[in-house]
Amino acid sequence: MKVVVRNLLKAKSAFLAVGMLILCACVPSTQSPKKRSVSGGSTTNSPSSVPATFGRIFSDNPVVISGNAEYPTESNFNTLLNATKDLVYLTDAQTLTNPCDPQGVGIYVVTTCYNALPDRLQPPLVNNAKKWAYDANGAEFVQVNAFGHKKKMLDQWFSHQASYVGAFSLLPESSLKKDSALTEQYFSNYAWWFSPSTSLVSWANCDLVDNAFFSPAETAICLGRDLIDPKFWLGQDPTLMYHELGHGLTQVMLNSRNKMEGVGVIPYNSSLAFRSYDEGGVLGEGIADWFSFYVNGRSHFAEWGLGRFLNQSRPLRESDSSHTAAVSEADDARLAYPDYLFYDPNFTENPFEDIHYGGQIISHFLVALTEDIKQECSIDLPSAKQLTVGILHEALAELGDLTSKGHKSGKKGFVNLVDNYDWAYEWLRSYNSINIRKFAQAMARKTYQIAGPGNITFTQCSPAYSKDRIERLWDSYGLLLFKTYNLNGSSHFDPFTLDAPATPAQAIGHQGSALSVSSANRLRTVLVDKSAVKLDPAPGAPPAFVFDDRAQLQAVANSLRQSNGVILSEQLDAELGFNNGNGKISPGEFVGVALNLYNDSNSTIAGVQILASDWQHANSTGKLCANQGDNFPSSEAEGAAPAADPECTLSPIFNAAGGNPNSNLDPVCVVQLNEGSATKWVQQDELLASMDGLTSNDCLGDDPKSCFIRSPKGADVGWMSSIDGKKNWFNTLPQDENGNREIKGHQAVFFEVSPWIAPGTTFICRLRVRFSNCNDCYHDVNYSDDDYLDNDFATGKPFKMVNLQFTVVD
Amino acid sequence: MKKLLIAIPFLLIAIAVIYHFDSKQAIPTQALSERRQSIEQENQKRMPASVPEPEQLQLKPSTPKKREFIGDKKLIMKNGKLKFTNKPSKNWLTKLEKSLGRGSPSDTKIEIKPERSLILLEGSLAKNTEQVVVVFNSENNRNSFRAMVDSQTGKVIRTWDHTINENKKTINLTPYPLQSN
Ligand SMILES: [Zn+2]
Repeated sequence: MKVVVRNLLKAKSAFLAVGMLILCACVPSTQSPKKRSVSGGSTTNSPSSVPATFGRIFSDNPVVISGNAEYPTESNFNTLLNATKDLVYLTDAQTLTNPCDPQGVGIYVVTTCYNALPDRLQPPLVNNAKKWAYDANGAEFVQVNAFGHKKKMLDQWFSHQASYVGAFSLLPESSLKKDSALTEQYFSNYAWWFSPSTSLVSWANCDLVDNAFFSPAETAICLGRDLIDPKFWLGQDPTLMYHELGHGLTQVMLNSRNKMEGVGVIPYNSSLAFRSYDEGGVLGEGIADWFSFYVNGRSHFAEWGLGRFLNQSRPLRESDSSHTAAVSEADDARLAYPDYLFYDPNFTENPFEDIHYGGQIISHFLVALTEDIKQECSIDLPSAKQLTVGILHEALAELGDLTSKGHKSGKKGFVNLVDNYDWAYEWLRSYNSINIRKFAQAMARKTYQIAGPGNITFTQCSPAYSKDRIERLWDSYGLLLFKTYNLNGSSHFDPFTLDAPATPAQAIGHQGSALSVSSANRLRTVLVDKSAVKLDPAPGAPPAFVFDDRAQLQAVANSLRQSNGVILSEQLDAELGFNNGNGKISPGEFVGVALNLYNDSNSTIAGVQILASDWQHANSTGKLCANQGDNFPSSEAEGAAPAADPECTLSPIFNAAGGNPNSNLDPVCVVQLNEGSATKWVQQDELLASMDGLTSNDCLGDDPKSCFIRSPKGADVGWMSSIDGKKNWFNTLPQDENGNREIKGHQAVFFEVSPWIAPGTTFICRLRVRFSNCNDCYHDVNYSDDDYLDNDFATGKPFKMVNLQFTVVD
Repeated sequence: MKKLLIAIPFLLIAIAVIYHFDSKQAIPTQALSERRQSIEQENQKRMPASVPEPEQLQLKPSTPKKREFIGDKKLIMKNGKLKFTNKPSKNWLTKLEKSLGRGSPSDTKIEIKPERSLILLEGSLAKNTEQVVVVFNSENNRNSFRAMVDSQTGKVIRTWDHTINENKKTINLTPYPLQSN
């Protein structure tokens, strides 16, 4: 029953929704905030009661203001307003607009550029008298409320940015400035912020049921409505605006360097998430939740917008009363990764796989870091928030940097492979994407440099936030997933010529100190060898599961197209007419494949990533490298390149321009070719050459090496949230109340299957697998556990190879 | 310790005030005026009330402007000339619309808003491209992204800036065990 309640967000049926409404009345609130009377409450909120340019907004959401977790929508919402305390300046304009003019002087100049419309393409609310007091029961008030809280959060953000950047912008070059991802241009070049043509707009009367979003392409925040109650808007809850704007600021922070350093150079923007579940998504939701604490300092979020009818509000720190008794702020009782990935405090008996619930680990970690900085640095909470958001900005700006330099003194390839935006984007998206380990390491590096002993010229914390303290806090969240801080980055270039190094040891990324983590501090975090992950060895267990039901795959294709920009090959029927749902991989189908992965260790592994993107596994004559961990093919006669072929032993060197690095990377699936009585494994272009009447025009795409089986970009990375020790992935998935487990698209990688394949043709796809709490997927034992260089992620070295063999049949 | 706790906020305020004061002497005036100029230019480009009319979002190619070059032109120039991998075609937008609509449910409305025309580096060659915003609208479902599109073929090269939807439609899949050979 409770699952029905929770799944309502996903349900379209009004019947279910009505059921749920009735249900919710009997579900005891996990919150039970203390009742308090609303002082100063009025029965109206009239324009005559406010001066021009001012209006009233809720001080918090209706549940918190009223102290009633079941505050009825029939109530007069005006009584939630305090006539004096809730009076705020909003705008000088006659619409809800904050213009893009620079405001302030010197390094404190900010540009705002945000506005409000009821919904997309609708005319703005016009108020000639500029008196923004509206009946709190109406839709106009929701627009004003959302706009006012956007302003509140942005005012704080800009003030913090100005202080933070200002604090070190006057320091000498040798100071933190060289390690900072931000630059002096930060407040003179506003390319990182929104502009008149891309004003940050909120649609608080957004015509979307039980949903909200941030759209970076339309620079818009949509706050939707309730399915049943026309008076209920998500925009009535300020904390939901903080969350959505948190997504917006995350996008801004992630792209700070692309817009400042790479202005006119970087055409794309970085993102954290690319699938419906991935660890970038978990990070994004956790960071967005933390922004609610960032504004109001409270330990809970969305009691009205998500809590009132949906029972989906979330806590932000372990001391919140909604947690189970096992959770506390003690080091061994924090919301640790990966134990709490499925934890829903509203329904603890029904764990659930979802980026928002997984994100609680990150929001709690960020709140704990804020509080710890406050305590250790002996500063007040606002100052601690300012420092924490500075650290977060530094970390995200570095991680999202498509110029690849990462910070002021960084050289190309420090992060995201190379100063070629196409390859940098591919590394961010697929090859070495931002998972929880990469984020945790970047946050530790920046905390060490900014508040810790990492840079004595920039003392934001005195006495310094110690390295041991960083490691113990991270460990209490299971986030001490890295063995070094990787201070030296991951560049595979020579430090002087910025070209290919003579040996990998001479690459920038292996020079200087990476700064080791003290292993004595790793008490709660568990690292597992990659050899633990394998295909399920149980007798009769299939190597994978196939999804080829036509209606389901049409829905998947539509979802991939709309949310990830995946356009399928025109060789496939537009309506997927060849998808026959027989559970076999057949010519002309679009299919999903979930590896039947098993964890042979005793500890949970998490953030399991399955890559079907191109990689370096063949030499330039097309022979397959057998030294990538899978001993495939088993002999030269079967298609292997000669042993010790240098093209198979070195990681490729990527060149930003002029070179053609793509020639080093080959599609993941190879095919078995019969030559008389012998068979050998070859790339797909050889199959094409052997087939009469077919030309490269008949291929799925432009590359003849993926002519017949191709995993389109955007559908080529699968994610399994976790696999428990001695279990397979399926049995790790949480069960619903009927004992069922749901399989969703993110666990699979998808393949287009050419209609021209002769049934009976056999393929092997050399898939690469890694996970976030992996002992040897990131740490190179040849270099004192320094991180692998970014170009190593083009090879099999950092991954567990899992070869999937199948025969295409009708 | 208590004294320190009290003193530090004051110290921070003092530092902030000093920086604020110092900054007045160190105003990056040129940068500021450049910024003001660019904002004025942007403002001139702005549509009234910043509410785009629906039809303006429908398949209107941007007015022919000089293509912006992304990256360092010198890297691929030979004898002062660029070699291109493609030639802009008038049909790129129609082709793009067709490929985006392929397999789309009939209730989905697709809008394409051209943003700018570019020249990108592709190895040692140059490529003409178009940057667009794509918006999908259907009953209770909205998505958008930016796309880089080949100016000749209308093929999507890359998409980014995808919508972060809180409540993504999830699709439950029926698993079939893969038959081993
Ligand atoms: Zn979110």
